[in-house]
Amino acid sequence: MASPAVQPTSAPPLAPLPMQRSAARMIFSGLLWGGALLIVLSLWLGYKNPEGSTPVIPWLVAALGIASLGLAIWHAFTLWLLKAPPERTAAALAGQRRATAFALLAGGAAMVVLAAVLAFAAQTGDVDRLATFKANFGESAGLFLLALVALGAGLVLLNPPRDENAAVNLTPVRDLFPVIRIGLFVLGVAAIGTFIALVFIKKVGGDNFPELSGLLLFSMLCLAVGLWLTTIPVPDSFTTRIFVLGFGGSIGLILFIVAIGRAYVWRSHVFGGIATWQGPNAWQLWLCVYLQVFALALMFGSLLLARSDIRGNVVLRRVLFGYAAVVEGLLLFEMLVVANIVFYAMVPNTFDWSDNRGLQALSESSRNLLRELKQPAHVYVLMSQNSVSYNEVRNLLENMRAESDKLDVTYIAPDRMTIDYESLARKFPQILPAGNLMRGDESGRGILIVYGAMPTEEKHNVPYTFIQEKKIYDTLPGGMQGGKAKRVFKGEVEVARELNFLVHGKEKRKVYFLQGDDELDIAITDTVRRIDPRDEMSLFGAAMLVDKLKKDNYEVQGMTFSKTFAAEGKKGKSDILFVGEKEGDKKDAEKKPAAVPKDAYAVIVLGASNTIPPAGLDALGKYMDSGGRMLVLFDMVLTNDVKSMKFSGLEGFVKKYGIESTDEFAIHVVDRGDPFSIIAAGAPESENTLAKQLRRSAVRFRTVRVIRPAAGAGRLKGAAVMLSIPKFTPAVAEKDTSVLKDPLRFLVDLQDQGVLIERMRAPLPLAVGVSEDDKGRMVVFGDTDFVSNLGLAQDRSGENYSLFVSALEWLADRDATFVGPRPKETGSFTLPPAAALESTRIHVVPMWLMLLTIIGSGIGIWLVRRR
Amino acid sequence: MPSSRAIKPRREDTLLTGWESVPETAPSIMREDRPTAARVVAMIGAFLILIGLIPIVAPLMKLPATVIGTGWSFFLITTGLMLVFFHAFVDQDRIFRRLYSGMGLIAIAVAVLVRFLPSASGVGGWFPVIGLPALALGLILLIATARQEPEKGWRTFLVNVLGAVGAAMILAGVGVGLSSRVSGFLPGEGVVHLILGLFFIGAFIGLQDTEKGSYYAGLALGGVGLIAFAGGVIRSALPESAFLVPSGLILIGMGIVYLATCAAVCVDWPIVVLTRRELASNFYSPIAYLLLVGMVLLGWYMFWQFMSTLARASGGDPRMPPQPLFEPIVAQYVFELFLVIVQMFIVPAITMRLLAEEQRTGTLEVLLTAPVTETTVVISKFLGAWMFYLLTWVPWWLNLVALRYMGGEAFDYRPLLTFNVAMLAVGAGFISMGLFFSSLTRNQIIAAVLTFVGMIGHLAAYIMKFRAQLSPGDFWYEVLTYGSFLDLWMNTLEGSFAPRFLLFHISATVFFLFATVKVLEARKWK
Repeated sequence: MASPAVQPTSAPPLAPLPMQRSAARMIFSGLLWGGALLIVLSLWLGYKNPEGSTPVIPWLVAALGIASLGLAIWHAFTLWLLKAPPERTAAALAGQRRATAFALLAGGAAMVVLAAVLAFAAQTGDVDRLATFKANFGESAGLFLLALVALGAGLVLLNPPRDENAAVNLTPVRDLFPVIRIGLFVLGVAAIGTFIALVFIKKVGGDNFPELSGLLLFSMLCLAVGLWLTTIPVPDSFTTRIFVLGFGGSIGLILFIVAIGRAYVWRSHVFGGIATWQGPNAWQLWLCVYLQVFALALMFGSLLLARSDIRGNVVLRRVLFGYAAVVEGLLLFEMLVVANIVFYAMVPNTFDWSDNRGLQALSESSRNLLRELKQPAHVYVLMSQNSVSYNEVRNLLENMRAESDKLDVTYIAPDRMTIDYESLARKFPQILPAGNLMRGDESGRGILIVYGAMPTEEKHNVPYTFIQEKKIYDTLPGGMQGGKAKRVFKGEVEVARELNFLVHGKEKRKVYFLQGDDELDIAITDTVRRIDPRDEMSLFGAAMLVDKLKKDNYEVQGMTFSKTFAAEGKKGKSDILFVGEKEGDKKDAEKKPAAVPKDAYAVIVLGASNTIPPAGLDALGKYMDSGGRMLVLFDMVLTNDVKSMKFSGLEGFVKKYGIESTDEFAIHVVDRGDPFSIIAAGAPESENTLAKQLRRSAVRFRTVRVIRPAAGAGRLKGAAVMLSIPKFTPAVAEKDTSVLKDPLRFLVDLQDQGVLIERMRAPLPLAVGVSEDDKGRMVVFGDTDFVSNLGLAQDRSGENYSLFVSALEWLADRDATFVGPRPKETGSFTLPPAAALESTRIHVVPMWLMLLTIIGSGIGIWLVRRR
Repeated sequence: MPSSRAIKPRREDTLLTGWESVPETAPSIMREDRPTAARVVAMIGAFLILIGLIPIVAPLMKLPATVIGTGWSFFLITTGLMLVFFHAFVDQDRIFRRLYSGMGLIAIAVAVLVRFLPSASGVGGWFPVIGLPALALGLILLIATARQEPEKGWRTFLVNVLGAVGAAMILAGVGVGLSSRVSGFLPGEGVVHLILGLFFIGAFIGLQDTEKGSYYAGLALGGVGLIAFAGGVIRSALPESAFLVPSGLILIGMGIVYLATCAAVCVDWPIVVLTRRELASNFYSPIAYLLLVGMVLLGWYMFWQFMSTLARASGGDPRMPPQPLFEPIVAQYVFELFLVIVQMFIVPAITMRLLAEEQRTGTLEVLLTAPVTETTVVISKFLGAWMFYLLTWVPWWLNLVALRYMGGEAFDYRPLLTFNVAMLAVGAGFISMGLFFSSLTRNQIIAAVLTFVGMIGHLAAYIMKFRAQLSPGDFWYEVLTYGSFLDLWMNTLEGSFAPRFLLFHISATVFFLFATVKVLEARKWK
């Protein structure tokens, strides 16, 4: 006997496809909205508290947001891209709905936990938990609300989709009408009583006006609805709906009004700007926002309960859909506002796309400086908005602020904000104009920089500095030989320099220039070209370099080990300190050894070619052994018979520190032009910090010697920092100075021997830096000309000085270095004379051609369409 | 070959009474169109060209100076050419077809030859002066003749020539632009190849006999666009790359244009079809041409003022000492109060009819009976109007191209890139606002007035900042600056580009589009 066939268990019937699709579209929109909000929230959390105790929270929130967007994309694929039969699509949507429901439940639970951690996890130490809660109220409450939405949506999605306009069962509410009626009367009376007690007994002030109004309105609503209910003996379903709609909607409206009033009372914090929204009272803003959202949701929820009647009631339908549109609009508006605020706060950069200033307005050195700030720096811009340089200054400072949260900028127009200006002037009198303030006189206008906490008293020790406006902007007239006029913006140079000065405690670092051994003369101001390599460096000047260093807050002093030179110097104008060996006097017969002054930040030698006395070399050795710093610049100085180079003795000295100053020099492989001119840049492969920073700098050396790193003593480590660039100036290294009589012949010979190509391919090391435990100790260049008066005068871009000062700063006991930014020049435009005289042609021709084209096109299209 | 008037028997040959009409007899006689008027126009055109050539040819032949100067010569030649083009488009006579197509082919051959000929300023030095006009001439003549060429073989040849030249120009522009280490290629010759190449390929696509041909050509263009876009982004994103400005932006921008063209040709999504229709409809009415002509004349007036300033600054006026004009000079050309006022009228003129007209005539109901949603309709109308609005700016930039090539002196054009990026966002905000107001009413005038008021509101942000004596750093100063399009214009014309200031206008666009969709949806609620 055959057993009865087992009937397969039939799956629950699927909802119709249109209903599935409609529900899926709503799920898609909700997931998209939620995902976007979560990502914006994660960005904001990361920005608000970059070093918070719970740095993982932004990442987790972002992950939830991405997951939400992923689910949205999944729905979008099934809704719009999946080509499948209707049954399969319906099944796929049902499956997705279930999976999404579980995902939302899990995500909602995770968000509840995250919101709790955010709200109650105290910062380190004994920080008040209430303060933490208040500080994170906006974000944690937002996350919690989203969690509630996710959990609610998850629960709803577990049930099959239903008709959007199906009636909601309100029978339980109708059954409770007798209780509700009494309750409303009680609530109304209690609210009125509370209102009277607060206003007339407790004398609560006007600051609580929104809540008091809300209380009064609520009491009136309760009493009015209570009275209305007494007139209805047997409530039907329609009356129940009207009650829910009217009462719920009105409460929502009252809450909305209260929220607006509260926002007005707290306006200084609600509309206080980004700084306020990140501060301890940020919760006030968020409270108002959430209260408004809650009020709107309450009104919307009340209206939804009436949705079963919209098919038959036009007014109700329009109200419901209209209100839904308003709420959607408000949600979109809220999301856009938050996105704008977050983006505004997170991307404060201003890029410069103009030709003269490059893409980024800030130089690497300024960025390093700003990242290094240990204390807050307050910048006050005391300039009129009509000033020529105002916009440039503003962009500059906005970019600086983007680099460091330690820097804040305040703008005070001295002519209009006189109270603020005078208040500032009492604390920082340096900002006051020097004399009577004349119209157009910019004295008293500029940028004030205060480093450290802002003083509360008029007398204080907080370091500050003031940059006059006239130092920020300059106009260079056009040259006589056709050069064009230029405007020079020196804002970055000035601000970075003064800030650097303040950061280092306003301490002027003293640098000593060795003199008396045929170095560049720091007193000579002439700009004379060194043509003959036999000319000693002492015939040429470095006064321009000294001036620039002084402007950069260095103290400069000449020193010599040569008694004769010191004596000659005293007769002349230069003030050279004699630091050589001194004879004993009557009291102390013992000789005093030569010694570098103890206050020396660094010793600089600019192209010495005369032999330095052994006592001097000993003194330099002791100075270096005691942690000193040296910047040595060699150069090719030939003997009169051109048979060899002159050596000062420093060659052997620097070898002890890991630098090999060879007797090789570089010859540029060129058939025409200067065979001694070599372009060099920072060594591309080097790990040396200085080399890395100099990679974008290109400097032209002349009569340069090859300097190679060698094995140094102890922990000293030498590395090439500047290499020649064979692509621009292919060069070969050579020892034989006699080839200088005919360099071209020498190069032709090398070519004939077939070795020229091979030799000129390799870049030549032209500067070496020595560091000890990553701190700069010595930098040696193979060239000196680039810092001579002529070298600096010819260098319009400022690369030469930048290189020199970078090396000097690298010697500071700091990891990051300060490479001086350069002024930014803006050129002017002039038409060629012929074009200037025929300017009519230039503006008539394009106009005529365009008119013909447009009219011709119109006629053409008309002709085509006519057929 | 249109039909003649119907052949009717003479009344006296019929038995008809007085009030009965004379019956027609089919078929009608067919007769050739006689383009007599077009031929007369062509003759006048040729005559003008000949007269215009005299001042150019006379010095070469060492003849005495003519009464007509070079300025008039240019005027006569260009007018003559326009008249000849008219004839080329109208006359279907085989002789003229062959004549014009031959001239077009020769012009293209000359352009190609000139590009590779050595000159004093290097290989292809004459290309901008001779090659580019020749290419434009060749393009117009080949389009004119190919579109009415009945002989299939010759037509295919002409169309293929257009395609080949276009493909070569685009590939050269993208290929060399991406691989070149010289930053001057794309902002100079490269962008010319990319734009002119698009016109050639556009003509090639438009003249295809089969949809298949257009489809594959469009697809290929999209592929090249994708390469240009991706290549531009990747090269710009490389560490320490200085490619983005201007080469990267040009490649990315043209890549997007190619992709959009590809989408317009190959994709039949409702949004693409409606956008195409909306954009094209602008050119089927005289409003577009009036607006463009107006912008040309306004641009010319501003450019004239600007040129006078430049001439004075450069010593062109002997009565006044030269005053240096500092870069970026483009700011002084573009940013004028007059322009701002004109914008107040241009935006309403473009947007007022978009939905108001459709509602008034009832075509919106018809449109929405098609399987398209309100969102699709709104976005396509927005995109069409937005693209047209951006097009109205083109005459301004062409004036500057003339300054560069006819003035013979380079200037800093990069702030125009920042300004145009800003214009994409600001223009979108304007147009979406106008579209929203157009959706609120059936009356175009009311829509225009509302948009005008909205534009004044935009402007008010700038004015209020000063009237309220606010200072930088104040909350409301920052908020007003954030929403002020004038501040954004001024800053971008100085070359400053702060992305955060664009977000407000993008947000406004999103919000107004959303609101417009809701207004259209509201019809269903009644």
